[in-house]
Amino acid sequence: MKRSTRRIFIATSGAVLAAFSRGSLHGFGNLPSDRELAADLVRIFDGHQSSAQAVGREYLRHMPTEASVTRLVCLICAEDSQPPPIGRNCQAIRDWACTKSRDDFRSGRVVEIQGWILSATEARLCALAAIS
Amino acid sequence: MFIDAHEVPEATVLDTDVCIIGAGAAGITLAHEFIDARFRVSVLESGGLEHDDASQQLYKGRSVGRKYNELDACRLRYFGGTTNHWNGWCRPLNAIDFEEYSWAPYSGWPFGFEDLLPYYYRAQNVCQLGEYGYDNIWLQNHAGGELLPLNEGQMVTEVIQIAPTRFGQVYRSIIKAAANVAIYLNANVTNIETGEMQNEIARLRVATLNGRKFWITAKYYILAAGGIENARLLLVSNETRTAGLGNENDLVGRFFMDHPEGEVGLFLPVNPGDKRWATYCDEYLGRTSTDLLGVLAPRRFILEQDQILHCTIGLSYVLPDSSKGWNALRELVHGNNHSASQIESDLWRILSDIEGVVGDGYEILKHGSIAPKVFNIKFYGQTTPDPDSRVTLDQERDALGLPRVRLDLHLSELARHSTKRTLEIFAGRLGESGLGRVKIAFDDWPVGIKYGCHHIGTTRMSANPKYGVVDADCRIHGIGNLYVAGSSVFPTSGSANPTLTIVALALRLADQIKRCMPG
Repeated sequence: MKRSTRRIFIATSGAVLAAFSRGSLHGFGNLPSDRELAADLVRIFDGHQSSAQAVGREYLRHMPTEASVTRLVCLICAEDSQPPPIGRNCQAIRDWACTKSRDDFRSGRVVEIQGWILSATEARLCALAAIS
Repeated sequence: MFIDAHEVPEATVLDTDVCIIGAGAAGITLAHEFIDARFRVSVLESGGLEHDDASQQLYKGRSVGRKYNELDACRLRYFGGTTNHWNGWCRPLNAIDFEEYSWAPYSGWPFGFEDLLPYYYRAQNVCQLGEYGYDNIWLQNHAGGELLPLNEGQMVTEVIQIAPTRFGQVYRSIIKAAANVAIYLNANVTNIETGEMQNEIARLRVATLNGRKFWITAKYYILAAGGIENARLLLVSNETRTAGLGNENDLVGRFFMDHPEGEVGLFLPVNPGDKRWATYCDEYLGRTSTDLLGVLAPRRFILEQDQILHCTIGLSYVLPDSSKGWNALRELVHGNNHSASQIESDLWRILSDIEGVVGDGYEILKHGSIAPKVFNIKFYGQTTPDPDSRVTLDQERDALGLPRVRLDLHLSELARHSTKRTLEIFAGRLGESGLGRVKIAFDDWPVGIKYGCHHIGTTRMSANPKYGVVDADCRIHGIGNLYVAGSSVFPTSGSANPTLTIVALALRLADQIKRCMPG
């Protein structure tokens, strides 16, 4: 795990955003909008949307530059050889999020929220819940 | 036999072959090893068979600099020493603790772990422990421990064996019955006197609190009075060598170390009902560990890669809102106005969604009414040897007229960084394994930091007298018949509780003394 400072350290760049290819998404004849993607992703929070939103708001308080559905969707889906299974059932998306989250910890892509060490993916998914 | 020093005639000169100063874990181990040997053994114990205030007062001292425990509260001055109140946690030092490594000044012992291993095996019996086993494989295969899936990669489970053996009680009868061993109770050494050449000890001056004075002569003397008192006795014995005995290079009392420990965060498990947590919890649902405890540590390659010290992490389980301890912990880790439990509840629900919920955790989620369960994260750390962390003599004197001690403890930046880094690694591994999330409540040593009351390093070992008070045989450099036993000889502390190593070194020293004695 990379050394983390007390502050949230995940940085983004235009290159990362540009790298995101919507053509890699599965099962879509027409590309979904960012908001449709976001809605699909945050389904994993089941009946706990308010909890996800609370964590997401806290994350965005420290990372206000990520307070955009487009930006968050790109960050969540970027750097990934396996894009999210959009349009499939909730469990498939949950499994994808779980795998990605664990990979974040393995690779040191973590953030700190009130001292809690979270994966970048889960923090951003929560942020998406907060603004989408 | 036990003899009350109050009854020794004034100005007597007793004679023995081996004289041991102190009857704690080290002194009793030595005396026990010498039972039925072909030489006489005398042990001088300052206190009696039970605690008494007057003797205990002799341990009073002053701590300057970093706040530390009261010096008369973390040590006991009667037969059995501090084993009369210890928790019994035992584990050997790690192999890396014996090695010199570039990122830790003054590291390295004059021998390796493998040299001490045979004595660790023997020390198991002395400490009334079970089979020797301190790694994750032993814990799983021999002790039936259920381990977290963290034993590949960056972290590994290590083992603490627990047996709060009261050495004074356990060994009292057998030592009393030994024809060649005499224990003098209420006998305080006030000076270690050298002969004319000053390279040999001639006799010890002994006094009782009621004013009786006498001497004892021996072929060999072993200082086994504890990590602070060993240094003190060498420093006060300054009639011929004004800096004290063994102190030609101004090392006696320096390099004082203890083990910082404390609660440094919270762990939010995905499944709080997972039975494996019990392996790592010293408190689990109100039950304290009985004989084994798992702790987690970074693997050796991580210590080398990140250039950190070996630290270990354990857990304790706390029911929310049920105890003062929980509230105190919440005060400690929550320093803002956000509701103390709210973010934990939110995080746990999110975690349950992402990781999936099994077992008890699912039931809790389903019913939605039980607050998430968290564990305290406890760390057991170490510090690096620092010559400015030291025991010196104070102006104030005790009832025997001896200067009291003044302690100035330092903790190194490397120790602080190692603790933080270990927590980060722990958080990463738990997240990677899908076990839960960690809150790190540590950036600098907390005001209320605790210590293990392990007094280490004040007469450290080195083959070179410029860096050590004793040599690899624990003999004082330059003095042929004075040895030191106990944790004061450790050049480094490691993060392991010291008693098993104290006993192992005492067994090793006993073997050396037996080889020196004729017959």
